[in-house]
Amino acid sequence: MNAAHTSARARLLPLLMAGTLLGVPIAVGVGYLVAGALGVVGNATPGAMGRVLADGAVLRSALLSLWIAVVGTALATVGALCVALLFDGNRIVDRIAKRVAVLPLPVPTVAAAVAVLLLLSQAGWLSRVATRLHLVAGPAGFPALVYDPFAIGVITAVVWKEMPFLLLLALSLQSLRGRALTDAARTLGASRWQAVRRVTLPVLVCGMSPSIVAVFVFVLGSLELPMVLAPSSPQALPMLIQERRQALDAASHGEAYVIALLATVLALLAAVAHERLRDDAA
Amino acid sequence: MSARTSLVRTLSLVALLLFVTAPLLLLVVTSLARGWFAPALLPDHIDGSAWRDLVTDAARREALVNSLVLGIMTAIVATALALPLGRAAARSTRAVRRSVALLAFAAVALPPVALGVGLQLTVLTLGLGGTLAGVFLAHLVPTLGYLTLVFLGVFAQWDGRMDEAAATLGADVRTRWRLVLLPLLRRPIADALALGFLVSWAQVALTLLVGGGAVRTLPLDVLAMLQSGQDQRAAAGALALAMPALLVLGLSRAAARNTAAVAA
Repeated sequence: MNAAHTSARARLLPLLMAGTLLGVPIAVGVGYLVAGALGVVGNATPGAMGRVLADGAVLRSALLSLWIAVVGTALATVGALCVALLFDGNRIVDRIAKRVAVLPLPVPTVAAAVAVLLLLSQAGWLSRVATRLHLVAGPAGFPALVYDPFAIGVITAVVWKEMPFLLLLALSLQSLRGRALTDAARTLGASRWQAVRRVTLPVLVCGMSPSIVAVFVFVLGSLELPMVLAPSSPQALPMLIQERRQALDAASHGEAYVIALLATVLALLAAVAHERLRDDAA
Repeated sequence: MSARTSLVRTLSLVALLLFVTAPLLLLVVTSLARGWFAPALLPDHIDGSAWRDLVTDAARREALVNSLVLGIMTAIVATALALPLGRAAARSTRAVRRSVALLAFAAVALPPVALGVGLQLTVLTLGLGGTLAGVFLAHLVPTLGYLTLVFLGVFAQWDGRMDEAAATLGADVRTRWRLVLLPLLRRPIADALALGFLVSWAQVALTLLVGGGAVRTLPLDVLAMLQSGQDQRAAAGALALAMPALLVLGLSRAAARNTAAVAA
């Protein structure tokens, strides 16, 4: 076997494997979505694409999902950066803060959603504390923090669940690159705030950007968070897909495929952005 | 450190402690509280019935066993497939590595509901709709994506000199895998098995769509308990869901400490 042959095989083998193991299921899954959206398979009727594009409920759902993903990811990122910068030392307070902040990391999303529901619902623990402190007259007087139009409950769960992941990354970047560069800036005469604003933050945000995109995509596609905590009108996009898929009429099935297809396109665009950002971060 | 900075740090630490621990503590107390209704701040009766139910109640036990079987099977098969894939891709050209990474990330990033709707039709066509085998195939897709990314990372920093030395000394492929590669890869393989288990263990959307309600797993059981107002059982199930991950994290930290001790 000559070197060129070996090299060609070495190039083709992983592509063949990835194509078979990952590409085929994705292509088949997405292919069925396209066929379902066109009314070819899956007990769906044609014309779903037009109906979905004209349906205001779909647009409102998409906007709610984007709102949850954008605000949740942004707050989780800001929280992670604040903890990383405020507790960037090795004192006991720093160590406690960093250890506590990553506690929710291994908690599955369903469990996080249940925990936030028990805390924030009108019969939840915060409402009981507020009632005991005479801040509200009773559970009904407590503001709606779950099933609310601004999805405060979902966003709280997103921040609680995703901040630890982003924090670990920020801490790792800080120890790998951030601290040395910040120290260099301080030595060159930058004030503490200038060094944070011009050096530390750009280094951290640049290194974290692929993971921020990953969190955004994960939140956008999550079914369990809106299932437990989000309002029923408008519904988050994954809930709308699920509802239309389970509906009895064929027209709704077709719409489920179209909406799922739209969500897929959004995710694939994010996958491309993720790869680009990963290259830049590297 | 100025007094103002110190005050900001102290207040932030208190806020962080409350924000992170309150939901977790609430899960623990709720899982042990019988008949704990508003406006009571603390429960009157504490019992472990919700925890016992997880193994004594037939429907809940079935959910737990299904989750365990799916998690273990998915972890083993996905690791066995992702390891050679990650290795082959890492040894190939940059363009190939990028293509494989993009496919792997797409498998992870596709909204599970969207992927589930597509896979549901595929699995139904295969005659596996509403079966554990069908749900296993569906779980395999995102898990394989995650583990391929893991092994791409592992092999990107891989020192191949031991393997090359073994090859130079005349070891065939099988011997090199058995005596060189697998022993060196013990830790990444253990991590991949744990991650693979956890990805399947926490799945909701794929199980719901491909299982069609006939395959009951622990996350679906937790949601069902919540929807029927059984908060105590939902909280116990939610904590049971978190346990394997906490265990993995604890073991991983212990292993890291041991490794650091050896290295020192």
